[in-house]
Amino acid sequence: MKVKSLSIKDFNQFKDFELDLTYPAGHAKAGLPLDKVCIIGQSGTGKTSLLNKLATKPQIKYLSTNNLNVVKPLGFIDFEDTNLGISTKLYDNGYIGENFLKLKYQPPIMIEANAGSKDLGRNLEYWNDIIKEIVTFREQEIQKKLEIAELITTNQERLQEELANFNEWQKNIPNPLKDLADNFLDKILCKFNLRVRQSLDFKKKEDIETIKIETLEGKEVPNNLLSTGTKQVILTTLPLYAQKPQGKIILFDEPERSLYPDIQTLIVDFYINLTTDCQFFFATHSPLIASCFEPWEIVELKFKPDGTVYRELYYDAERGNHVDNYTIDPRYLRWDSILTRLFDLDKDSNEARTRKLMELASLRSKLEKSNGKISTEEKQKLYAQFEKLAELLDWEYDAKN
Amino acid sequence: MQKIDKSAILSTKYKRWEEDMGTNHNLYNSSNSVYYYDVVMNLLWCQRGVCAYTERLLCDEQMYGAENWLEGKYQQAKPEFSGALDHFDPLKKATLGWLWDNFFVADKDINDKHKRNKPVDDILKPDLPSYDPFTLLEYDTQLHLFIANTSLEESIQVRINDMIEILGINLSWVVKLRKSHLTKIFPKIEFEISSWEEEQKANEQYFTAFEMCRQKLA
Repeated sequence: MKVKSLSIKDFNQFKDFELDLTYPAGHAKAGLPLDKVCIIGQSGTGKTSLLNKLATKPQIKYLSTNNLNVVKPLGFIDFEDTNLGISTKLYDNGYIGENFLKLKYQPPIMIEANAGSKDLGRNLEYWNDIIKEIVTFREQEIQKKLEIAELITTNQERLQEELANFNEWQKNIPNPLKDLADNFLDKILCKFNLRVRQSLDFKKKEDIETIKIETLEGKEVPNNLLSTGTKQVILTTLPLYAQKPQGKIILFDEPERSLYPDIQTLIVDFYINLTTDCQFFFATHSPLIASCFEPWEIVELKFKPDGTVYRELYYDAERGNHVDNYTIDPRYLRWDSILTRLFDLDKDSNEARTRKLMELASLRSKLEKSNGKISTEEKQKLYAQFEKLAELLDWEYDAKN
Repeated sequence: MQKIDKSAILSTKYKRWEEDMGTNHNLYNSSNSVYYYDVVMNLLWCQRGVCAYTERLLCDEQMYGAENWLEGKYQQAKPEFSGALDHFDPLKKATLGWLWDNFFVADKDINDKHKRNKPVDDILKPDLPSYDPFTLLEYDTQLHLFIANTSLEESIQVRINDMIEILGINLSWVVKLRKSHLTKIFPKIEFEISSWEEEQKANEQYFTAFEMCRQKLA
């Protein structure tokens, strides 16, 4: 189930607000709901409000199509299940028609912005589900090992057969803890010099009551010493890993929280890989997160003079919503260009840099004019100043100009 | 920053009113003045529609063309332009608030947010007879920055560079727009799609930077 469009008649700063959430003409998935959406915009434009709107469970008030007239003027969310070929609308006042029931509405999964501020202690949400799988796996593994051990003295022929079966079982049914660590969490945690502790001894309840983290050197890190960024990654991963969502809507508020830029460039694909055929909505202030999206997947909210908001289009509306008409593509922009072109930052540096650049330009001009007028020693001194300043400003000299 | 000739007075009614006030000007108030648009549009005519300092296009020629004046009064009720009336020397605003010599039309953000009440040096007053951009300034075609002519005395260079900063000529958003405009022109000339002369005729803004680039790159 994915959202195809959204219409809000009157809700906070949204007035007669329409959102097309399908791929544009000319795209391989033209007309289908977007797989992922990135909502950007100044604080107060309603990014989180949009997520909350999508997260709201339907209140069933009307079940008869006779009530269509009542609900028509109100806003709606247009859902589509491409597998079942069903498309239907959820109206603001809770109207659910026949098609909606067929759609088997599944409430979206909401990942809050402040996930990393929570604790990894006991009763960790979703850990219990994962640990059940780990315990079951462990019990099965011990049972199989015991059975094999018995065969060592009784039946050598069957022993080989059972060993082969055991190896096959291990291949097909991966250890959930190893899977969680090797295939998901450790890919990010290793950048913090951390990993998930996989060698649990199961002797005490405390050993498995929460996820254990250790340094890459194998030293356990107590939960209260883990950074907010580390907890953010773990606490946002566990719900998706435990639920293994399929065909669901996943709402993510500020996925960049407490994460260093290099991690921000990876995090969108990281979350998507934890799910199957889900539709993601990310609300973000991060240009690095935005750089992971196709231009039609970006919903940039902007204020109108009257305080209501609209979606900034990245294509010429008169020419139509076609991939060829888009003039911005965040995937192809440098980070600084994303800041100025998507996030509307009207300058590319502090003004202190401008004065230093003027100094650099003056030095360059003096060097150009100095041929035959000053000694080689003086010229070398001038060039040393130029070179030092160019390095400080991270400026690359282009001899062509 | 181009040299601006402000001797052509189209808003003659305003000019007579200004001269009649002598050195005792009415309090400057842009919002309820009958002569506000007369001053702004006459200046835009003198400035060829661009900001006096950054040379960014602020107004369409249709709006400031001479045909918009009748009997010394500008005729459009609410002309479209993006800019603000700037008092070059802010200290004169209190007593000589309507002085023609002290007025320029500038980018609104330069006027409102950047230049404000900073003290100025007449060395870069674009309507003075002594002002010549090609003597006082240089343009770096890589960085797209104006700097003082490095052949001038060091102390003069400092005064000019300080004024470049005060007038917002090298603010990063200004540089970005100027660079973006000019670097769209250069490849057309390089690939012989058009010539410097053709581009000069079509060019509506950043005249000084354009000309300095032409002198360097042509």
